[in-house]
Formats: sequence, structure tokens, C-alpha cells
Amino acid sequence: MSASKNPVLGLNVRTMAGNNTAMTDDKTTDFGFKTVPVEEKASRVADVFHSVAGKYDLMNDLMSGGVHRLWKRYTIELSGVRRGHRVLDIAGGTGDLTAKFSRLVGPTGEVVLADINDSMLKVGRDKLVDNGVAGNVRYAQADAQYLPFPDNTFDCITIAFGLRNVTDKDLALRSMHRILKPGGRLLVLEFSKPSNGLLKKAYDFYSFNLLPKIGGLVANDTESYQYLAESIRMHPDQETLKGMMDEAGFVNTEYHNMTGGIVALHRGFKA
Amino acid sequence: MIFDFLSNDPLKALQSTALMGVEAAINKALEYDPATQNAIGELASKVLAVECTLPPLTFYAVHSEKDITLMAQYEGEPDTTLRGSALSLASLATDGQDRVSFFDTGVEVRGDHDLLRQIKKILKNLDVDWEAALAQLIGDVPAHLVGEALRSSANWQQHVAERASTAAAEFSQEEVRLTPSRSEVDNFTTEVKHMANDVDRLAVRINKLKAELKVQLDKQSTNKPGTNKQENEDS
Repeated sequence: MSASKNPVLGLNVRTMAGNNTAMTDDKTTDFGFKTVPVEEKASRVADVFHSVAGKYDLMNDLMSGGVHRLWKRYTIELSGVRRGHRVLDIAGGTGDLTAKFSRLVGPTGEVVLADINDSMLKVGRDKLVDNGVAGNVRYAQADAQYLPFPDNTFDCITIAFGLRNVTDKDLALRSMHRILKPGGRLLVLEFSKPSNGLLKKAYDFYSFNLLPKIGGLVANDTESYQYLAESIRMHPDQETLKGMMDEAGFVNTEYHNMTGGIVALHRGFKA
Repeated sequence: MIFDFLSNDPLKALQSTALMGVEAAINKALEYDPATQNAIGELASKVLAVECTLPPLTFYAVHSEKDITLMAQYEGEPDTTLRGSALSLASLATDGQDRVSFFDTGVEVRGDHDLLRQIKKILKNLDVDWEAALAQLIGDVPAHLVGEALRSSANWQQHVAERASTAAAEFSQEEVRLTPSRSEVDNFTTEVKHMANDVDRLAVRINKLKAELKVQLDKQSTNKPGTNKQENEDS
């Protein structure tokens, strides 16, 4: 792990290198550009999501211009989920992926919407029930690092825009690998590193100047969206995350850049 | 930013965007046609693959209990696969016929033909309450006014089209004598039918005469001198 000056904020930040995780030896980790004790990160992330839960969908649409729907749609298409499958949607938030999976697996399948944050889980459950998505959906408040399911349970696991908030990503990936059935697949949809320099500059300007302002105007919460921008920069880039998935035991790992690498979809299989 | 222009594969992104829009429109429309929604529910978990050859485009329609999901990729085995040009596929979707076979449609059908018949039946009976859908957006009274305006406009257009068609027919038949009148065509058709019957009868008579002639010729050939064994012995 190395330290560098962030060109936009002028802050000292730690960047990821190789297969290292965000955990340091003295039991601290990143929370955006800040360094916090490991045991504090979960509660700080929880505070962020308690704060934004009510406006989560609206903010997603505003921040991405609606393109997050395309990213999620591509995730569904690469999931290979079909009737009778058992799917786990970790950090499922307001249930966008769960709703689609519920239709695809049909009455003989099952989808579990899991989130560590009870506010997000409640918003997601209410939204799904209000939209008539029921019968084959279960809900679990669960930590991605210690998933409370038996070994070899799921045909597919997805984690969309959630992995960067997990304290120990390696532990979480191993936990996901454990509960996947052999042949099952993990899909990680997450912000990543834009490949084009010009796009990166525009994206940085947007993230650190406009995004917190939109958050302040719409959700009355500038800090949470400042954290969002910072946490994205601290998240491992495409190759690093692919390496971490390999380390956790996944095979045939690959990633697909979307919107110039602003978002990447990683996929790996359990042998 | 509506399209994901910066994707690695812009065409696929465009296709996904288009499918997402079509899917949203179909599912919204289904909300205003409960009978069709129920009929779709009976096809739950069935997958229809559509392989369009011109323009090249493949998508999958996954049916669930209340709606349809359109996907550009599907890893399972579709229940039914249709393959054909956009024109032939559109024609098959809109012809409204209950078909036993699809061999003359220009569309190759693989898999469960019954699923396709059920989908065609659903399309035939589609009856979306567009006014109710519009009312959700702009309110009941404005939606009703728009509906009335569209209906009267449609009636007026139909009336004008009928009048124009009649006037064109009259001009063509009576003024410039380019085409015959209906009664002339009917008489001509009747005469053609009579002639066809007469020709058929004549053909039958000729065949009968040919058969009789053949019998006569056979008899004559058997009665020729030197051909009858008895005659030879007597002489």
C-alpha cells in the first residue's frame, strides 16, 4: 500500500497495489480517504446508509443519469440465472437486482436479499412488497464477511456497489466462495478506474465537486456523498480485484468495463 | 446520458438500452390489460428466443407471472426459438391467424410450437386500456378528452379513407373506364366459372371418347384375318 497526494482534494490518500487489501497491519482501514480503526468502519458505513436509505433510488438515478439500470441489466444478463436457481443478492439495497432475479427464478427458485444495514433492508423489503415481488424472496441482515448460510447453497451471488464498503474484502470474497455451489458464479458490480485520462479528469471533477452538492440538495447529506466519491477512489482497480477473486479461490475470473471503466463487472466461478 | 456510449461494445449497449425501453413499455401496457397479464402468467418461466437475421439481432423473452423480461443474452435453453427476417417475424406476430404450421411464414421455428401459438393468441387478443394508462400521467378528465379526440380523429380518418376509396373507384370505373364495375366483374367471374365447368365437362367427354375409341381399336385388332387362331385352323 502506498501514499500519494490526491490531485483534487489535496489529501494524503492510500492507493491499492497488487493484491493487498485496504487493511493495514495496525488494524486500521480506509473510510473514504480517512483511516479509521477496523472496528469503526462498519458503524461509519452503516451511518452513511442509514442517512441515504430514503433517497437511495432517486440519488442513484440522479448521479448516474439512469445508467445504473444498464449496469444492473448487464449484470443480470451475465448471471445466467434461470428458473429454479437459488440466488443471493448481497448489499442488495433497495432490491433492483432481487426484483429481476425473483422473476427469472420463478416459483421453484429462491432469492435472498441480504444487506448489513437494516435501514436499507427495510426500504428494499417495503419496495419489493409494494411492487408485488413476493413468494420466492427472503430477507437477511447479514455481514458479507460472515455470511450465515451453509456451504454450497447458491447458484449465483451478486454484490452490486457493496464490496467497497466491506471492511475486509478478502474475507468477504472467501465467505462468498464458501456458500456458492460448485459451478456457481459470483458477480461483483462496482465502481472502478476509468481507462481514459480525459474521462478520469471529468469523472474526478464530477465526483468531488458536483456529486456532494447533488447529495446536499436532494438528500440533504453532503458528507455521505463525499464518502461515496472517496470510497470509489480507494476501491481496488480492475486487475487488483480480479487478483483478489483468484486468491479467494474463484476460477475463470474476468471483468467487463462499462462506461469507460467507471464501473466494472467482475465474474468468477467456483470450481 | 441515456446510452452507455463508453461501453466496450456500444452496439450491445444500444441493444440493451433499446430492450430495456421496449420491456418497460410492454410491461407498463400489460398493467392496463389484466386479461393479457393473466395469460402471460400462464407462460411463466417459458423462454422465447428471437433470432432476427436482417437486421442481425437476437433477444430472449423470459415470461414471468406478471410481466416479460427481455434479455440480449440467456445461458439456458430457450423453449422456443424463432429465426427469420424482421419483416417475416413482424408479419407472423401481426397476421392474427391461428396456425397449425409455420412452414409458409418465412420464419424457422424450433422447439415448443405450442408456446408460439399461445403467444400469438395473446397478441391477437391484446386490448390495452391506453386511456387508463394516460390517466395515470395526466389525470382522468384530460385523458378522457385526449381519448375522445383520438377516437373521433380515427373515425374521421376511417370515414375519409372510405369516401376516398369509393370516389376513386367511381372515377376509375365510370369516368375513365379504366377498371370494370363490380357487376361487370361479377358477371365476368360467373362466365369464367361456367367456362371452367364447360371445359371440365368437355375434358371428361374427350377422355371418355378416347377410352371408347381405344376399346374399339382393340376389338378391331383382335378381329383382323390371321390374328384369330380358330379362323386359321378352319381355313
